[in-house]
Amino acid sequence: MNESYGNVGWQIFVYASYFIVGVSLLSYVIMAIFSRKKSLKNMYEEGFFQEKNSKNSSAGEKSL
Amino acid sequence: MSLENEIPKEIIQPIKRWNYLLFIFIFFQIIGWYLALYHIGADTDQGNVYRIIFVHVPVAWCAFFWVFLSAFFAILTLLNPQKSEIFDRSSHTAIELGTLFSVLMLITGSVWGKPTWGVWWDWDPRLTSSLVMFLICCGYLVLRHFTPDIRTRRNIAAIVSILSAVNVPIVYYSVNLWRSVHQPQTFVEKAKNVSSDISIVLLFNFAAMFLLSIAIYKIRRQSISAKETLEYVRGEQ
Amino acid sequence: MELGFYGYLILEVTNKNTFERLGENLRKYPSFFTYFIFINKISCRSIWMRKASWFGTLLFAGCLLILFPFGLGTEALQRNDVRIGSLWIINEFIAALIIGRMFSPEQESFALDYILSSRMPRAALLVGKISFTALQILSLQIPVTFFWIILYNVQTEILIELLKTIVPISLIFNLGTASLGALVSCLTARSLAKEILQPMLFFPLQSGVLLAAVSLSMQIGDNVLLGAFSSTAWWTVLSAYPILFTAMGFLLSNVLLQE
Repeated sequence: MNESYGNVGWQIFVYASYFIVGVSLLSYVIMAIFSRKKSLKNMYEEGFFQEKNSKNSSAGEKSL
Repeated sequence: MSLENEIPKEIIQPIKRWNYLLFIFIFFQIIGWYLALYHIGADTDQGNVYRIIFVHVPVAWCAFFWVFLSAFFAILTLLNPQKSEIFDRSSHTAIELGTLFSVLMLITGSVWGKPTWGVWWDWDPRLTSSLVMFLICCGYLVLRHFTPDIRTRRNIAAIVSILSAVNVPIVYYSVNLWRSVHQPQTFVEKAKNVSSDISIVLLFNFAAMFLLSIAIYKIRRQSISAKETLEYVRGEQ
Repeated sequence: MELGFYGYLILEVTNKNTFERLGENLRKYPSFFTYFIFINKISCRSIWMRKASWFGTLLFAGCLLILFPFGLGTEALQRNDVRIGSLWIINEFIAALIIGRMFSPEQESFALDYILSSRMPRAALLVGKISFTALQILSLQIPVTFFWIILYNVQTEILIELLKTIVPISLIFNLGTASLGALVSCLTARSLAKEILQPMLFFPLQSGVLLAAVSLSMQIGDNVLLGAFSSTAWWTVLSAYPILFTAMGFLLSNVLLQE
């Protein structure tokens, strides 16, 4: 069982994979949360939530 | 969030719910990874490098799941024009997630290949067909970006999503046939003689990654929904 | 008054009597077939009027025939698999160029809107275009294959066997490519940067049919590079494309072709 590949050990391959997956998913989630927050803030500032009619019902749709 | 009191409950409640669930599922995933990295012993054949399986396989499964779910929503978009807005947003979010997981699958597969087979890329059937699927998913996202009219965008994006799902099994079958001439599949998750420990940890990681992907999907779906509603109200669509 | 081709085309499609007359005269045929023939007819005429684009595609294919030896080296071309692979890649590029121009004659003459607002079923338009595009690709493949045989020193011993194998493969390849290309062409018709989007979507979706065509052609001669080879499986993959994507085109024609 060869645990070293040239000058590097198995750790670099394994930890690199986990790190890349973790960081990518985290970045994507953070980006999504920021985008959602920004859109909601803009919607509030533009008076979207003050109108209690069909605009609210379309924003409050049950998402799938 | 200071806007919490201003935004209607029916919008804020799902946002908070999925924020909490996201943290819970992240915690589960961390436990899964801890088990995979430190709890389980080394494999008899591949040594410690095989631990990549605990991240590669769940990510691969999620990639295919979200791409096929996107196609399902795409079919609903075309069949039900009254609700096309809802289904189209779901399809878009699902394919974004599918694209992200595809690229992670390719990277982890490639990183696994280097110490195991000595090469970064081996034209393994599964990885190759995933690469084709990834390219089509990117095509979907670029096409959406470059189509100005919203109704046209929904319809053609739905068709591309269906095409990508239909194409995946054909390309997989073709590449498998193509490579079977030269060598069998590179990455074979061992079905026989796998210890129950490894199976349990793999299953746990599977479930954790899947639940995490659902939470990410929900959050991104909310984000896309808010953005598109804002654009619609502003008249940008 | 003398009408140019497009004047004639516009008159023909806007004249309601045209289809009714055709229907009366060809009552024994279903009207779908009538429209199908009509689309092939006008596409053929438009290509005849624009012979330069056909020659241009042929010249481009000729340039590719030269680029492969430059890129791979003439020693590489002594291998059968590289030779045959090069031919199919050139065929792919020919198909991509032709598919890029599939609806252009009608779009540029503004006749497409007339066709779409006429009584013609959209599925007939799509299927007509698929069949004509397949024939158009074939019309270019013939001279390209001829030059390929000469430039790439294809051995005379395997020539007959090669042609006997390549011809049926080409016919199905063209239909598969044209049907997939028609879908992609319609999908990207209304987007910006469609010159990038069309090949970007087309090539990954084409992978299976390209693999099938290359794998089936590589059987020619004593090609020892092939170990376990299932010709049935490859023919299945190759045939799946025209059937699947033409069926999809049929089902989605109203969504794909909109005014």
